[in-house]
Amino acid sequence: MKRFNIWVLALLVIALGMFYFMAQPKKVYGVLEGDTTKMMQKGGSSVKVQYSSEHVDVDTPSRVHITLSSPKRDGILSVEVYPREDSLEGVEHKTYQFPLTSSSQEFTIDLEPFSLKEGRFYINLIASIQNERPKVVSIPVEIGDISKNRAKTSMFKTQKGEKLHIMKAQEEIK
Amino acid sequence: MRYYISCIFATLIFVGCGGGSGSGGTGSSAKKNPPILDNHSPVTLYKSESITPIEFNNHGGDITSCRVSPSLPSGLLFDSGDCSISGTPTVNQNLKTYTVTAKNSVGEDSATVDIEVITPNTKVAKLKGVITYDSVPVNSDGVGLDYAHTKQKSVRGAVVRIVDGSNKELARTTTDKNGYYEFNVANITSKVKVQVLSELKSSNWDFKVKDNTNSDALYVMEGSLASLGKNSTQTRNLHASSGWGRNSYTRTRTAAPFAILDVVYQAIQKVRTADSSIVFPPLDIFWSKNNKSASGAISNGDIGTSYYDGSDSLYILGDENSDTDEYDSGVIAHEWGHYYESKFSRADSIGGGHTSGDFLDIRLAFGEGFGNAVSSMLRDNPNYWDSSGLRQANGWNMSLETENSRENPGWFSEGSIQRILYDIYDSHNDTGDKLSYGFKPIHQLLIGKEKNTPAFTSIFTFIKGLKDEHPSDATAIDNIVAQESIAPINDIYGSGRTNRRENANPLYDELTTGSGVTIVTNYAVDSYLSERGRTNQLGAYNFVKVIVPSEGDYTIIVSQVGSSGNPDPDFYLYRGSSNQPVAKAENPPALSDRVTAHLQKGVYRMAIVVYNQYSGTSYRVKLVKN
Repeated sequence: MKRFNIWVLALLVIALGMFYFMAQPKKVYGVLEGDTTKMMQKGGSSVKVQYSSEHVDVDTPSRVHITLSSPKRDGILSVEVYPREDSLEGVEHKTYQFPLTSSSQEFTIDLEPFSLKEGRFYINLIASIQNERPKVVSIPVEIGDISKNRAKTSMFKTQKGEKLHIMKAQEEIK
Repeated sequence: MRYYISCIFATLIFVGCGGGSGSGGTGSSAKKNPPILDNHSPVTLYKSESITPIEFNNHGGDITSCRVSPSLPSGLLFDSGDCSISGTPTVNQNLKTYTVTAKNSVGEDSATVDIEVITPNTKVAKLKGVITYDSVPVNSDGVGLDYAHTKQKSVRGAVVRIVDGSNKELARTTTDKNGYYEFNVANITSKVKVQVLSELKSSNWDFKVKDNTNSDALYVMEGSLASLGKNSTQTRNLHASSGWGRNSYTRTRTAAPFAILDVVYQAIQKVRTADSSIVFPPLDIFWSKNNKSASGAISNGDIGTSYYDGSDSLYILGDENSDTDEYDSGVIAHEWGHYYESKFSRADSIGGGHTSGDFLDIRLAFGEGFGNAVSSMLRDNPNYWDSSGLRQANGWNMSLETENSRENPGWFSEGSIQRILYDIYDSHNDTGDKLSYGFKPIHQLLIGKEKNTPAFTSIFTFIKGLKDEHPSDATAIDNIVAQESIAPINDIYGSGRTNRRENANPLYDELTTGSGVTIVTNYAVDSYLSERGRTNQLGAYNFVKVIVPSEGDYTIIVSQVGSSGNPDPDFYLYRGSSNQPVAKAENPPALSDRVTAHLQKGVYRMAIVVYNQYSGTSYRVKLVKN
């Protein structure tokens, strides 16, 4: 009886623990939002891109919601999507195609990228309509401590205070 | 899915996942961070000479202790508090890598520095050479970069200097139009290296290419630290490689800043054909391999796109496999053209998304059409391309000479405007184009009539000014303009044109004191765009020519005729050669908005926009003397 009670108690504790952790919501530190109409841009496609991207922990899927819209009423909106960094998983290189009509000018793409590494990563998106210039957008995805994958730089400061980014030349001496 | 599986596993062993101890918000950096050290550039030190302290840039948390491995050369001292190296080396040392590790209570980080110690050497009389860079052309079909046909081009007009092992400058000069440099040096006993700065500098200009993701450091390519030898002349030729491997960039992209610089060199030479004594305001051009089409911090490379900031900086994309612009010379010249227009003429463009077939606000249409046209003028090349995508293999292109690809031509089209301006400039005559002005007349118009025009800058102000300055060519100018389905232009306000294809709203209304004028706002071409905030399309803004009869205090009122919706009318008043408003009304949404200002007698121009109400609605505009 006593042994039975111990097992019941242990199972109860495990079950409660599982319930507690399963019930814990995914920690979202914030949501990044972007809109190409608010960004400076080169001449390009008339496609407008809006996105939201959750800042989450390592190995946790971020919900990335992308909305594309165009004033065009015919043609095919082609959207190529791929991760900028190999360590950003859950996003495969894929081309979406959306037929544009007078009643269908807005489309969405939902992605769930995640990473085992911390840092700020990007999903590259290239949107184009036939015979139009493509629009290129990089959508940020933040995982954990975003300073972690910041590229190491090599800045040299001279005695006069000049800040130099020195690169080796191919040199011929004769 | 992976998240939930790991949660279940973690639950079974009573360890949590998710959540963490973050305090929320979009920035996840802990209040206290470990040190984050940048690597240091290689240094050459002289035996028996005191060194300039070697310090490591730390952009992380405070350092509490440091260590170095292996041991430093004899005579050098390591500060275990801040990781700096100082002292006087007493023995020679071949180039060797030292690792410095900084630590605090949160964590640690390491960085490296290569150090060599040498004995000073002998001298030489002349040091000369040629500086080149890899120039990657566009594919023959105009789409994507053609790395297989990379050519070596001269680095022209760049600053070259010789420095000693501690990077102390010993002499400087600039390369000529063939990339050639020459130093006549004396009394140099130490080894030296040649550095080529990504800088064009003279008494009349100073253009630099810098790294916005690396403390705004100036790009420099350098040769090796070497003896000048025993001969009276030594040649050192330096080349900047593109860094391209077979399918990706595998080495440092040394050529990129110099490819950008060469477009600026061409631009300077072109403008100097119109005015050889012109003085250019300084401009910093920021390029980095990290510069992406993303919103965020510029220091992180999230620049959004290649653009001119309207002041003294230009930003260029460099993100491999997405969008790089260092070899898209038309893009660089276009953005430099915005700088030129802003500094020497006047740029009234309001920016925002745009493409060649759009019906655009006349200010934006002229600004972008001008940018493309001047890009081709500066390079003497009617072709414009913009590469992008994986391996930079995609993109788009256009020719300013193409006659059969006009989409929605007109005075609201950037495509029409760029073709008109380029036809006026170029020596190639085609249908309707018999003019070949070259750059000087265009430059003189831009710095004169166009800069001071009382109307907003547009194709109307430009063509009217050109016809006034060249009355004998009026018919030839009209013929070029007619190719774009534009009737002859005879005034700066576009009289006779309507604000939209279908309605009779004039492009400009005229306002003076009295009863005011009624305008119909948001008669935009495309209501779909209007509803989505595209206020840079034709008809989203209303323009008003304002005549102030005498100096005094005035109130300008814009109020709805009726009371529908929750509109937000805003307006901006300008005068003379400035593109900064002398008065503006940007109050919260209401049926009306107003501003009071002290105005001089004369002609002003006003732009009115109404947010939150995207169908044609009548507003009364009044100018009241107080």
